[in-house]
Amino acid sequence: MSPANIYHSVKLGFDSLHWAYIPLFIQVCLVISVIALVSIIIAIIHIAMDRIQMRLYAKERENISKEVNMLLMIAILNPENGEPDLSFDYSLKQFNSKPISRTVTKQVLVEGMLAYRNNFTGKIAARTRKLYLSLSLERDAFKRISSRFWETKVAALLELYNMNVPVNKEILLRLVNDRNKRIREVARLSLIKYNDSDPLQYLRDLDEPLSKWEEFEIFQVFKRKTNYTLSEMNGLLSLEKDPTVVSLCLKLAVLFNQQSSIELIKTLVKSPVIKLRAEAIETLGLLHATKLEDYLVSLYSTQPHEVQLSILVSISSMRTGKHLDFIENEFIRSNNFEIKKYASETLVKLYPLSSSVIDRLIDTSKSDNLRMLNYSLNPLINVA
Amino acid sequence: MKHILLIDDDIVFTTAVSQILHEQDYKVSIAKDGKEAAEELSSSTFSLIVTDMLMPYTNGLEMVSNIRQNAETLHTPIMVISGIDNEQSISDWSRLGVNSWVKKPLSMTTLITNIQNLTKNAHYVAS
Repeated sequence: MSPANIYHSVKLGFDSLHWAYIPLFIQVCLVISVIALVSIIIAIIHIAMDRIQMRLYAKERENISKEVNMLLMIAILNPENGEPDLSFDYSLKQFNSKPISRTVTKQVLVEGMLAYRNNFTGKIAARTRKLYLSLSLERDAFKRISSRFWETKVAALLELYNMNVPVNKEILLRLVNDRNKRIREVARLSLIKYNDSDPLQYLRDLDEPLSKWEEFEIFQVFKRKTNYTLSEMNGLLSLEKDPTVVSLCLKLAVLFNQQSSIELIKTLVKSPVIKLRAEAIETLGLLHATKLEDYLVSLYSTQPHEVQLSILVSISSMRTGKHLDFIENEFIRSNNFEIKKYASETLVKLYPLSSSVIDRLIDTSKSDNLRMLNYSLNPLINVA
Repeated sequence: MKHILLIDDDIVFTTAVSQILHEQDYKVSIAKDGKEAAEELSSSTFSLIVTDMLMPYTNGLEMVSNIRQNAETLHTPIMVISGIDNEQSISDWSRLGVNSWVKKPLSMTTLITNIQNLTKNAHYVAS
């Protein structure tokens, strides 16, 4: 049908509707309704097409996954039988004979490898990395770092990070100043991971808050560093530094049991940021700074609720049993539910030092106090 | 042949672990979540239960508590495999009757040694 014919048919249609005689307002409404209807139909078709595509993609992935995971298992899990490594070479040959240049196959393969790296250490993790490098998959990841899309960049950086493939320091230094927050975070993470001489250096230079995710990941990086001694944290455990960085350093001090940082942490007890103050007090407990236990108890009455709870937690971590009377008193006399709960949990954690206090409280407590104590003794029993 | 129940929703992980345990002469049943685990536990007897803590439907702690409350599984050793390793969680697991825990990412040698110890001394461990 030619455009002239279409025009003619539409004109005839309009004439039969007596279009010219319909009021302008109705004409506009009719046009808008038709446009809306056509848009809805197009949207529905678009959604349906997307769904069909997604289903086909999922099916294709499922088919590929079975084969790829089987080959991954042969390559990674079979024990090394000396040189040549037959099972590994077999899988490598199979992978190379497949069109792994296809995005979907490569995605499934890399996802499978990342799952192995995230779940296992030792030989399995090492063989996964060996296979990744043998298939030159890192080249593709390096290419993706220069992508225009931030999600692709982040995925590529994380892939290399998890596969333990170092990225050029210059590239990382450029990415830590990227406008996108996620890119900055992952780049920082890699920078810390691959800086063996002083991984804390980057935190010293950092002048923006860390996200929770980043804090967790950086902590994991340090956790995986073996035979590593944490450098002194002067300038990091300080009231001038961003509270998120200080919070991470407190966790690191506990992880590496850095007793030398106790004095620095003591200064944080005066922090105007209540959350940080509470965290510093809990850290003192975890570091067993028993010399400061009396000091913390003396602060108790002047502190806000959150800090009072952290003092109770700290006492339970120190496990000296020096302040059982104080905890018992808080459990009996406080009107605050949380204080009572923390005091009762502290008593349970101080067992057997607190056994006589617990027995006495079980004998003398009534209703809510008794229920709370029973719950602390076993959080999954039915105390109703 | 010792029969092990492996509970985890990560297919790559369960496939890999079961493959290696098969090679070590263990029979392995896999459950993806608490529901499937409950079905497996009601139909078979296991020498060891290896479970993750985070999974669909039933929280790992709840499941361990259920296992310990059931007379038939009361003495079955339980091993937890988890990415979480804070002091509080470990203390909660121990109080509920978890016999051993291994942190992810894990070394297969550690896992096998732990499994061997728990299944060899199953009765002693559980009591």
